[in-house]
Amino acid sequence: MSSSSNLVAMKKVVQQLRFEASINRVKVSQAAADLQQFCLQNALQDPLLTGVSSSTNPFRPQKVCSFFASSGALPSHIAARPAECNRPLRLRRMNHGTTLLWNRRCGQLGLLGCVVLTELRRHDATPEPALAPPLVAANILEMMLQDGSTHLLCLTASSGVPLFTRGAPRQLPFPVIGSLNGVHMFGGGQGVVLSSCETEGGGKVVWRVFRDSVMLIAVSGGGSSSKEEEARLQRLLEDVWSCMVLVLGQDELTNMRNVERLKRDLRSCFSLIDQLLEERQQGILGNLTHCADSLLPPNPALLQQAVDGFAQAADSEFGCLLVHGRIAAATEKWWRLAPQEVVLLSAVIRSLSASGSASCDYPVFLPHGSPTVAHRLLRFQLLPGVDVCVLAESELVGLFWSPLVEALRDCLALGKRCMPTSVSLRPDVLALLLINRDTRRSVSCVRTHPLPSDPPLPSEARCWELLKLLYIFSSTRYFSQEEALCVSPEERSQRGNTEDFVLGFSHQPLQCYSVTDECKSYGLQTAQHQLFLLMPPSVPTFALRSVATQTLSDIVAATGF
Amino acid sequence: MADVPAPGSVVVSDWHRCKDSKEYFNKILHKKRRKNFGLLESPVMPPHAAVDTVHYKIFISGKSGVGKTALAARLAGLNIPPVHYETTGIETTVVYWPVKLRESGRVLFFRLQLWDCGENALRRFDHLLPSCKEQVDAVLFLFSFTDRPSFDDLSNQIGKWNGPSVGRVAKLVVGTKFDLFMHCDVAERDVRDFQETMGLPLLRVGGEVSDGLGDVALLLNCPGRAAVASGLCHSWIGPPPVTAGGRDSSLIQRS
Repeated sequence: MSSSSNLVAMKKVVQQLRFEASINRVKVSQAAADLQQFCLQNALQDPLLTGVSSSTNPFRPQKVCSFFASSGALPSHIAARPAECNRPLRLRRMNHGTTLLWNRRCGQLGLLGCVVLTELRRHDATPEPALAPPLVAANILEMMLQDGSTHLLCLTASSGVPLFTRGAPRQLPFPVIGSLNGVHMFGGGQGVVLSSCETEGGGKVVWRVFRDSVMLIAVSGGGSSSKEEEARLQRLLEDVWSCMVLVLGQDELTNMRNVERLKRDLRSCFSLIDQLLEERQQGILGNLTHCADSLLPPNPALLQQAVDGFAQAADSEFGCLLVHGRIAAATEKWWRLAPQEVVLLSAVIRSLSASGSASCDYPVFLPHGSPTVAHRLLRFQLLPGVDVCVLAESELVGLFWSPLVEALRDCLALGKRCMPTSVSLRPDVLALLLINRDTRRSVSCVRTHPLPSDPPLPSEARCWELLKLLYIFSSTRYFSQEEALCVSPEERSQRGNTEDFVLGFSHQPLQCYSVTDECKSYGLQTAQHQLFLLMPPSVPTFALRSVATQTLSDIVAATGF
Repeated sequence: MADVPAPGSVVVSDWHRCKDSKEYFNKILHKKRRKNFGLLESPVMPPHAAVDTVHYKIFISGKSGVGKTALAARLAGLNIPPVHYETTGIETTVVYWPVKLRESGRVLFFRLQLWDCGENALRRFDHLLPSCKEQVDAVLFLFSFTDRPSFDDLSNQIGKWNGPSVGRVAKLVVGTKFDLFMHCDVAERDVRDFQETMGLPLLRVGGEVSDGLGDVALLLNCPGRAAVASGLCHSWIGPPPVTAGGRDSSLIQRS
């Protein structure tokens, strides 16, 4: 074997030597002159001398660009794909199709146009000017969306300068923020208001411009069904705007003279905004229901009297007492504030209370009642977990509240039950949320010691989550929401899409139920109340209704809620 | 300044380590952590050992982000907020601390009300600073070891509290974030020079807070000491104006 391979190698060497011997030889001087001439002739094509033009370089990084089609032909057809466009484009991949819902300015909602954002490689150098702004780096967005969190962006509406972003460990990259703004701006140029968009991965983007000065964009990774998620994000944007007004006042936000200064001032809203985004406190449903989380004290008249007296002595008509972050008693005027304000003020007080400080004096603006004049929100921690608040000045804490220490301790002892022990709940109630539709108040509780059973019942945290889901499910599908106070007619028509069932039928649903592996749930609506109940799966389905009606009548009879 | 007595000359400085202080310190502890008192509560001693409470109002001054809220939380033994959020109004924190007077051996409860107000809020709303300054007993001037401008601004800040309108107020300088020596922006020499020219007591804080008392004791005794030393408060110690032990002691108003 080795000798034959040796032979082959030798033959190759001989062949090479013969080839070299046959080459025509020239003098060194001539060869040098030839080389020089060749170099001068081809200098223009030498990449080392002239550089590589980016269009011919096969090694340049693949440029990601996205393309915005359609919308010229509103409202005739649903989708226009880039391929239909007669532009010299070659489609690479189309795995990031993203549809946007256009909401026309007249308020009528429908799928008027559709935009497909795709990743493709562009070969022409000059994009059409109209298509330049909405370049969304769709793949980056998709990547950010996957972690399931909610991002919040705030920009100036006129110039698109980013003011802040919240709600994520990772910030959205600047090109994405710019693109999200650009898409909205592009829609504005076409006479449409872009309100929301959905990605294939279930993510959601919601836009909203407030007072022509600030644009808020919420981006969420989705998860739950899109209609509910959109309702949640819309509400989130409204609440965030209210937070900004509450801390800074409307004037500062609308008369934007110095953007850098506004950016700095907006930092003071972060604590409240983060609280909204994270929903830190378990068992507080106010952000969702826009009803004030309440606690029904065992001795309501006594506390009511004290709150009234305290507020009066402080020269204020607004006073309230919070136990475990829920309103136990409040003056009449306090309840006349817009429901959203009551919820927001409770949130402010909760966050102040969590810091453990003894008293606070915070200037606050009321988003609906007084968006331009600040009030003083005074909060006093009577006991850890019990706070009393007035919107004015006061130095009389001890005088009014010292005699009531025991009554307050009784309230504290109620814990998360939120109801006096005189109300006997049926043992098969896992969790409940009761809303008074007239006063926009709510009480909610989850049984902390449910009966041991097999299979195990959902944990407390899971019960709160299920209760939220039940509320979202029933209120978006069956029970109409009335928020005449804080929703303008224009917005309500926007929201109208959540009520398919209600629109389709002439009657109002009064009760609904659902049965899952984890639990059975029942929703009940009367002229004055809405009740949402969670029960263990062992309860027979036919009994759900009687449990619900009985629970409602028990609570109302015992507390007059 | 000349009228600041030497450390430990008015109150026993490390009294929290002595055995005889235990029954008093137990009143401000709960399960080895500092107890959080609401306004209706105060440490209550048994009737035979009733102790007077002396109220002080202490204003925390310093640039935004220097650590005012964190210092108040630290002194009160509360959880230090993990994320920095601006304080958009006044927050007061109450700290109870038992002290023993060196001369008479008498035990008192100090009730230090720390007033913390965000710098930006002070700028935006005019009514906040007057209410912070009203009847204030002591001021803590804060600077951060990681923020040079906050140190440079100190003399300017202190100057504002020297006028005749302010009255006699005890002053103390506190340097925060001393543990972040990697990012230290203020040299030790500068601090020494500053201390010599201003003649004010200067403390350094930073790092983890354990649940014990030792960490905070030094600081807590110090403002108390400065306040006592300021002479203004000397008169208080003779017959204390606020009687303690009863419920009324937790009134926000002061006689």
